[in-house]
Amino acid sequence: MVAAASTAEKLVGELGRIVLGRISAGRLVLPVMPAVAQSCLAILQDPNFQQKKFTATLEREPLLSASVLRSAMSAANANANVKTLDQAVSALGMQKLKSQLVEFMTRELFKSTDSRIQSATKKVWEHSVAVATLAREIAAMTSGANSDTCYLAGLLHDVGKPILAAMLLDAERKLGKAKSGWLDIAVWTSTIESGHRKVGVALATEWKLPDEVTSGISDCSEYDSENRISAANIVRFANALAKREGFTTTTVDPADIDALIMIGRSMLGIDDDVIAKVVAGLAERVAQAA
Amino acid sequence: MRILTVDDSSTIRTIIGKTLGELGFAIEQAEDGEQGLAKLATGPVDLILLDVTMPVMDGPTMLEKLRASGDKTPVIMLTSESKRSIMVGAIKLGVSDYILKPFKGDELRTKVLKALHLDEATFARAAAPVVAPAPVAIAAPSGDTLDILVIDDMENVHKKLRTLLPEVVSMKGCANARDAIQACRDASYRVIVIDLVIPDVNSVTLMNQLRELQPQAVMTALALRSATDAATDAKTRGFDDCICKPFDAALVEQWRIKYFARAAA
Repeated sequence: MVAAASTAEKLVGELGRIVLGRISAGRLVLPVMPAVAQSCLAILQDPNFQQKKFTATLEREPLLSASVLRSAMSAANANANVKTLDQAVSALGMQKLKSQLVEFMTRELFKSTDSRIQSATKKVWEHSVAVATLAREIAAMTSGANSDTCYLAGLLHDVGKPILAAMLLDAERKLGKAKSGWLDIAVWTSTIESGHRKVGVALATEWKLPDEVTSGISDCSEYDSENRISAANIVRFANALAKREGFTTTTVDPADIDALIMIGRSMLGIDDDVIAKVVAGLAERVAQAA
Repeated sequence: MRILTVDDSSTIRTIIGKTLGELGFAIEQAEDGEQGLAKLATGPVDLILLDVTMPVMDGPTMLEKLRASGDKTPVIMLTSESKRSIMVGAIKLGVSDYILKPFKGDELRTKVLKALHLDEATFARAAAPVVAPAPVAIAAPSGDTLDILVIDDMENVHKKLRTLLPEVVSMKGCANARDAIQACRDASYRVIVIDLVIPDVNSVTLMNQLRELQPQAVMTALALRSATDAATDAKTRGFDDCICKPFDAALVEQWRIKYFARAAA
């Protein structure tokens, strides 16, 4: 058993080196943003937004259209009258649609036909939704940062994890080691933990996401004291809060989390009562959104 | 009560002395950790405000020595250092709180009073003539009293409601949570109407936040007419009342009369 674990550890280490080597050599093949989503985002960013053009573009991607419809018709929105995609677009509004598009694209990255990746990334996705929800509410209630950017930055802060997981699986297959049960999940997880930020930043750059989103992905463990009220700092704070509330994918040191919360409260000027309010009912809200 | 501030910046020590002196605290000063320990040897204090980076002996070293000697005096780290690793060590040595420089007087007051388990409201009132307004959570709005605050991201909703209310009923509209919170800091409202679907923030969370700022206000949910049993749902979520949009003029009038009966229609 010890020998098997050691072999697996070496193999995962080797896979990790291959993938990380590709990243540093700039030879990383990243998931491309679906063309329809890209076109939709461009239409939304156009100052002369044309709803008909947007709806017509959206219709080309059935899954995305369904996601927009479902969101507009959801119980939370209580838009029982929404029956067409055009009505759904009107009901949601531009800001919500933008979030919906990036959320849809991000959610796709967390899906896998491989049960091991699916199970490993499910918790990461729930954690990301918790961070995004908290970041948006904290921004809306306390600071000058854009709450939409905070939501996206929260949702994407760990986006490198599922991509790296898929890359490891691919490399594993190429090495002919795809035997069920060979993998030491702890070592595999640690490989992902050590490399996911670089992959996430590469994706954010490829997808041309705002700098503040990229900054939130590149480092979630230290605040930027030069830019106190920023989306990246809000995501760092929300990340610590989400972990304290149990939305975590790895073992955490409570003192580490307390330190990040203590520093974040002062950095962002957040009252304890605001914190208590944004975390209240978080599990239910995440379950609904995830 | 005595508070010791340990900081190599005389400006910071002066600001702390002035801000906390106005609350009636006696302030002791030290320029570094060594001086701080020497001060403590002459007599205990109730709280220590401790900088991190200082010459001779830094804050973490002083804290370590303090705890090693069995001294459990509450400590607030007050520093421009925001490295997590430094605070992890300080938390393991039992610090009560953290304040990042530059800081606001409100934050200093709130955290000092909390660390000393003192009633913030009492101190805020005592300090009112000479210091800045009390912390937001307990401060009374400084401006006028208005009748209705409407929070909905669609400005046409504000406009429509305005047309359905008599002119004598004053109304302000806000399109997002941040503006609404600011509005509640600036003025008092008798009734606050909150859309149940606001982008960016959970409407119940916002309602609870506004209720602390405006405990006197009637919190009214603004639900979609198509929603099933909106009134019961709103009350379950903690709202006092509910109206529906698109607005029905007769129903808005009924609702208005409940709170502004004397306003001419």
